[in-house]
Amino acid sequence: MTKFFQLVIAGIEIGSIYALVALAIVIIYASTGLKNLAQGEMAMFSAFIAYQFHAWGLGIWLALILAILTTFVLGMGVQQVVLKPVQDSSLLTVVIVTLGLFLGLNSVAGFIWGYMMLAFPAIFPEGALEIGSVDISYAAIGVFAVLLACAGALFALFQFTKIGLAMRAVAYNKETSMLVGVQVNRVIMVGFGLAASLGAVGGIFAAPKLFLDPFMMLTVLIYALASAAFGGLDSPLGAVIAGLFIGIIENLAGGYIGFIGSDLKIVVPLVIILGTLLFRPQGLLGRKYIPRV
Amino acid sequence: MANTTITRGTSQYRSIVTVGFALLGLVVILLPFVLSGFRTFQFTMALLWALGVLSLNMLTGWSGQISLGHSALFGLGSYTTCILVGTYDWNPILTIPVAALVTFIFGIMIGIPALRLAGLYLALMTLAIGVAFTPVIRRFKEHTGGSMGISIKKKVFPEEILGLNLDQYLYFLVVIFAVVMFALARNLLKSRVGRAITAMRDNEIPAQTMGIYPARYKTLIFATSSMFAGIAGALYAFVIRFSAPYSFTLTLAIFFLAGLVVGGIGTLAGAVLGGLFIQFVPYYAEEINQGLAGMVFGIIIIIIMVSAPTGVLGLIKKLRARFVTVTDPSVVRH
Amino acid sequence: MSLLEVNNLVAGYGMVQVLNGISLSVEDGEVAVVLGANGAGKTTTLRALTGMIKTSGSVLFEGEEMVGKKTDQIVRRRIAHVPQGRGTVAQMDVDENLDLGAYIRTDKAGIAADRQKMFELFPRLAERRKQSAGSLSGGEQQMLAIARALMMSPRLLLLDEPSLGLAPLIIRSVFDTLRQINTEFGTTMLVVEQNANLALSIAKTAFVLETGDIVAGGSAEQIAADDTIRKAYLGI
Repeated sequence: MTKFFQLVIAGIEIGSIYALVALAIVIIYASTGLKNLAQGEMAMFSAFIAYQFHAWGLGIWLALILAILTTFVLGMGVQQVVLKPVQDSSLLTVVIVTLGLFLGLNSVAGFIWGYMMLAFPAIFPEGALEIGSVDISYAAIGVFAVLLACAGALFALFQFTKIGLAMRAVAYNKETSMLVGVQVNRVIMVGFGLAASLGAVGGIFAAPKLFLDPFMMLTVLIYALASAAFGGLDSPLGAVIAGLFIGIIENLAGGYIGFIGSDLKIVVPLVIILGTLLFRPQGLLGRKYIPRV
Repeated sequence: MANTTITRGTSQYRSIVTVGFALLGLVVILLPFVLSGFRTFQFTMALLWALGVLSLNMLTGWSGQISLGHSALFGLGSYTTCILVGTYDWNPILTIPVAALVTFIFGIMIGIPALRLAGLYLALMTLAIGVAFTPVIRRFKEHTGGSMGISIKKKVFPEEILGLNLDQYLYFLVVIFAVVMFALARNLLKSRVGRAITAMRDNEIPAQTMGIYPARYKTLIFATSSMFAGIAGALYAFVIRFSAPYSFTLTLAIFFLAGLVVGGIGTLAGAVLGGLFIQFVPYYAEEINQGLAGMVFGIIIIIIMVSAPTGVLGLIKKLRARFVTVTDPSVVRH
Repeated sequence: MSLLEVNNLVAGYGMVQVLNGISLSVEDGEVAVVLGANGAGKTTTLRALTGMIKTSGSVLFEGEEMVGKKTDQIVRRRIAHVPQGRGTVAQMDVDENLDLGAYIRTDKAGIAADRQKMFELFPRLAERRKQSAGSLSGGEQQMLAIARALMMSPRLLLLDEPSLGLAPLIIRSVFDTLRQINTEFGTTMLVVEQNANLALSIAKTAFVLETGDIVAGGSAEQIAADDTIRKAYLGI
């Protein structure tokens, strides 16, 4: 039984990361219809920025916050320079541009910081809470708490603020938003910055566990995409639930199904993506019309 | 300079095309004798990448379906050859049809669920396949050699054939395959099937009313595209004589897509340009810095998509159009 | 000076020109209608006025040139546009749609007061405050769309075929409400409509649009009484 709980807790810990990146993907998708395949790389880049701030002498939490703010600004910049020019182009163009971004970010990170794995400082204190025979690490509790805080803040933003209302309106009905005076382009830009920041949180909190190198977020991206698809590409709540779910399932499968072991764990999200796309393309909680053949 | 008009089908047009191809042919044939072994190898690789780009072009340029998994199909072809030759001592040439068949079948398997998806969802599915390739290969290490990869001993290939050394005859082998495959692709495009597919890409419903059934053709294209990638992969195994899980990652899939975009989506000649791009840009960029290659690629992709979505070939065509207009013969005869 | 003065407005989609240089004007406080059959260019006219498509020519609103401005800039001058197909956000509930309508306003008290007015004007909406707009009936959605537009406290209200897709009884009710809004709040309106009788019944001025050209214009009584116009362009 201990093993079970231990795996579930590990699942929640990594699932929180998936959920954060999935949230980022969902926000961008909901407001612009763009599936940002470069999200993982942006998150990785933010983790490096945080690392750099810390290396320059700032305390880890200050470094984190600065990195997240920097990412917000950079995210807006990327949207304006790279994505806005192609936002009305064909799907293929947009996908290719995000892939170009993917490649570019990966390479710039490698260029600046090299390809050797770096040790990211621990954000939460070492040690664990012991309940019976089960150890709940402070890191796991911490990351989960961060997820809940972010999700809560996002909820409050969308439900209770004017900008949140505008963002939702743009996601649901761009034309009507324009007609009530919403500056759609500005809202999209801010939305992108916000999503980038969420991804940054995911990347930063993943770094101590996954070790920092330009390829760190590659597999996380797949899990996050699976979570976003499974939860419903336009449902933030779905993204959170799906992220945690996939984290838990992945660990349970790896721990209990010998065939999968730790090598094939990635098959889990892939099967989920395929299953979702084929049987229930709108995901658990999603709503939008899915382009079908 | 005045703009001259050339009409397709006239003897003037035909002679220009013939001379052009003859010159090209001459360059291609003389290349391995003029350049060093290593350079010949590089051009051989460029041709292989071009075939990869071509396979993607069939899917994306013609039928508008996005695939991020072609690296997996390429790798599948390569592994097929390496396993059959390395473990089971097959004659290398015989592995090519096997690789073609294996990837064709995979293509059908992917093509069928792909029917129900479109656009970004298809990209996501193929992304999943592309990324899954590496860990799956590692998992079945008894057959594939796992992370260490699997290699073909050089002895399998004779030192010399008809007076040509290894680099040279492999080059010609790939050239022959490339010419055949490009010709096949061109014929496919011009055939009834090909025209049906491009008709569907632009607008599916009218195509359907004309009696063209999307499902059959889409799956066929997927399978054919996969097969081309698989054959290219098998030839890759001839040249490199080594397959490893990390050779066929998402990065390669992105490179194929980049080559497609840079060369010009939907064009055959663009595939060759794309192949050259994939081979030589990273080579020179890496001399400066390892990360630079990807950065250059990434930036170039973005710039091209934003400013010249028709790729380099599109730009060349536009340039040529300033001086020469190529028209089709008018239907009405005087 | 008219509230809205349109001169030689040319507009279209891509390479297709739909409006060939139309001119019309709307006085402060009146209801003006643009009549025309399908394909005449009615929707295009309104979209051109709110900057949603490329236009050339001149649109003077309160003396200020609107051509070349972006939609949100135009809307901020207090021009509310109720597009064809309602223009409500289906996924949001009635309350949120009204909130959205008041987006450019900052006077909380005024917004609350106007919201009350809307519920008095449209009691059906008051009953369904927390229902999503998409679950309302066609007539209710149209009312919500109008209410949404009115929440802006607009100087000019543009309505695109309010009768479209509604049952006759509901249409009558909608048009009665429009007349009520004009008399009670003094809101200036420009309505484009296919249903000539209905539109003329609430209008002061009328224009007739036929494949991109204004072929007639004058007071509503004039246009209604003119048999040649009715037969030739309005099919009645």
